[in-house]
Amino acid sequence: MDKETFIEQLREIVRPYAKNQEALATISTSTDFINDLKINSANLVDVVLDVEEKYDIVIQNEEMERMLNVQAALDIVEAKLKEK
Amino acid sequence: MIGNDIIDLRAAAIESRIHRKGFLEKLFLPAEISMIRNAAAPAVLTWLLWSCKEAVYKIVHRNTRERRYAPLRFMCRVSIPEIGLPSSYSGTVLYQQQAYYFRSNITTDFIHTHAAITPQLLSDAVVFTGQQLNSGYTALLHEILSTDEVFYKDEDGIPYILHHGDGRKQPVSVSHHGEHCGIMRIRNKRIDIFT
Repeated sequence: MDKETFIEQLREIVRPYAKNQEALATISTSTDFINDLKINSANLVDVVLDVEEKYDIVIQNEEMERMLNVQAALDIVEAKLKEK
Repeated sequence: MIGNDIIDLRAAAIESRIHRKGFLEKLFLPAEISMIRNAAAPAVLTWLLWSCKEAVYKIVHRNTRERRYAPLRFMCRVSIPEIGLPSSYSGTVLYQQQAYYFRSNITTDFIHTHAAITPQLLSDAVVFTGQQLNSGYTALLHEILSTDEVFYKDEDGIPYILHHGDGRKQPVSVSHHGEHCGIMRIRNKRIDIFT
């Protein structure tokens, strides 16, 4: 899966939780879920769960700890898909 | 060090599906989940525990400057509360062998938790809550700051109150969610003059 496809898919996943829709429009690997998209920290777990469902993977707690931005999410998902 | 967190219960009910598969398991430890499941009002207990973890995370973040989404590293212990609303809960949160102390006030509209690294600091702190439609915590902040105090956040987003007079800076914790906001600060020490 290429980076652009992943970012487009992730944009749709985070859309319901992002309070900053302008930042969502310009989402990139450097976008921070909390600081930029203004996702409530209680909703970050929904992003993790939605990503798990979308890619049929299990994200470990240690991985969730650093899943604070798009790049980290991309790294985690890519690594998990390679394991398959 | 201090930290506070407010949860607008109406907003939380709309924004989160606490019953979705995996939700509780990713945020709470088994003992916490059984507290939630056995509670008369599971949603209230869910948000109570979450606000405790958030308030203590703010203390840890202030100290370490490290951002992490690691709710399972925070272990909540809540003392048995009095029945009825509004009510007050207290207890501890354990993070990396360090205990932090919290107090939570629960109304029908919100949960406000404030925490500190010692019980003394917890009782020396003052907390404020307010209802704001759009301004977040800014309006409440203006109400509580005296004329020689200025609010600012440092490069890591950690908030402080700066005293113009003597250049002293004090930690402050700010929080907002939905229509509610909360602030926790350390009480200004008064110089008592006995005559």
